[in-house]
Amino acid sequence: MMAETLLELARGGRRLDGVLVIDIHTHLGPADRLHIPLNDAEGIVHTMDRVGIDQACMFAGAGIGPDYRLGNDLTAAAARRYPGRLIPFAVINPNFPEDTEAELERCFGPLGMRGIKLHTFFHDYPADGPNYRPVFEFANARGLVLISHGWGGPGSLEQLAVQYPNLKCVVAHAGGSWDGRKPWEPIEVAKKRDNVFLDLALSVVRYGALERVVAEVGPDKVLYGSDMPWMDAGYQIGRVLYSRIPDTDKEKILGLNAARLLGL
Amino acid sequence: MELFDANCMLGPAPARQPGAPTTAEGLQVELRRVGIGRALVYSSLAEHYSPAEGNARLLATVRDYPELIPCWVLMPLTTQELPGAGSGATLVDQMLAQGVKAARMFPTLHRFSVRGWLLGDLLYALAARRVPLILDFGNRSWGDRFTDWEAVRETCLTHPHLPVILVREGMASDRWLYPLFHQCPNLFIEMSYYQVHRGIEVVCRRFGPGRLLFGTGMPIYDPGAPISMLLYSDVADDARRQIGSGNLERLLAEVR
Repeated sequence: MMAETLLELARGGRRLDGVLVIDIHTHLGPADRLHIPLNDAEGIVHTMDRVGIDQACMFAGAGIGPDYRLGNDLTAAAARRYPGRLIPFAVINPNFPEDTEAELERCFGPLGMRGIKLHTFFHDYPADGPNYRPVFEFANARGLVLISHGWGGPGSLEQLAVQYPNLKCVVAHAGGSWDGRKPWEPIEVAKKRDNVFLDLALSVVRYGALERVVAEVGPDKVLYGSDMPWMDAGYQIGRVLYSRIPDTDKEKILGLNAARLLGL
Repeated sequence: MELFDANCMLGPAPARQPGAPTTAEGLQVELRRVGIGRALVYSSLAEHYSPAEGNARLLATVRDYPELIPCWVLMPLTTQELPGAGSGATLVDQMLAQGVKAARMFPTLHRFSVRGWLLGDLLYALAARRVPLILDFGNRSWGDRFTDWEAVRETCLTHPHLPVILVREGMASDRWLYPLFHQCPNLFIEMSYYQVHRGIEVVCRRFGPGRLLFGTGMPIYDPGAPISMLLYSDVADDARRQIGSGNLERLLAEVR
């Protein structure tokens, strides 16, 4: 048992030593539409060290952007540079279906990737579109974590979760955009499906949103993610540390849930 | 380390976040829970209903709460929606006489522009007394682009003694902000949404710690996030203290 509560640690600005923290959602490199200082692996690990983030799941900005092969190469190189700290995830662009199978083999072979990230918004393609099917089949066969920014039309998230029961579907940017007042599909699906989870990475952090999400889906379904370096991890982690939920729930969200999903 | 929140609303909101405090007492409880010592507060009625009504009620509401420092919401005087304010100087005199040392405007919501030709002598009056002017353009996320950067620049350059504070600028604002920080020593940002990766550290390195003001956006937004970003930022303790409370204290102390 910790001597201090997590809120007390946070109010002192102290490193989260003694707490497993795994950031399920981070990037690498610059972005077209944002100024992102210190966006390389060194800059990101510096932030991790200051806050006390043990590990981060990473997928390069180049991959969610124009060049998935470059992005996956950069992610793999960063993970090799910081073994045990950066967990590389593969980005697959469905607009290059002729290369999907080969890129999956490359990523989970020599590049040593541990999960998959999809970006339906930047790649402008729905998760339930046919070009993604090989990705879901691959991930399901291996019981991988698959994080997606966006899914498909109404009902698509649940449909995919049912169709691919071994997949661990993480809804990116979900643990907070719910305003707590109107029904919202990711919440409802996460309540019903064992293999659907919500990550917290979200810039618009509404008052009390985290508490409401946890009350709805339970603390075992929520994963701390920062979107670092698109957003500052010190900012994003404050939502968990200052939230009005028990420390046991915070510890699940901060890292225990991710460790379970990733098999760490 | 004391925290002085430059961006806090007091009162009920039309789309209230479930459980958000709506009274001075409720806000006080939450401020104490998260370790914020003082907050500059504006009235939710002033934002979402009538600045005249909201400003008037605010003073009575915060009377028994010394940690809640009142801020008035202003708008152009030409439509005469702020009674008794025949001129900018008269209005600012009224404010200061009642202990209100900061002003806030909502140009997007209230449908006006922060331009000299529109605000008339109000900006001159605020500048003459060094009253900090907080500009809330209604940005909720970094995808919103409501900030009128040209008007901000014009205001800062025309009134170099007017402290201009932008609220809720975020990760997509830097390519506007950095040149303005160079050109306008009187421009500041409140950091409730300024979650640029290591942004506090980089701004301190480039421009010094004097341009950032701690703020939360409570009770609409989560206070834990900006508090945590400040406390975990890789800056000297003195810089952290300036941002946490010292900069806002200084600006309020400089009001004439």
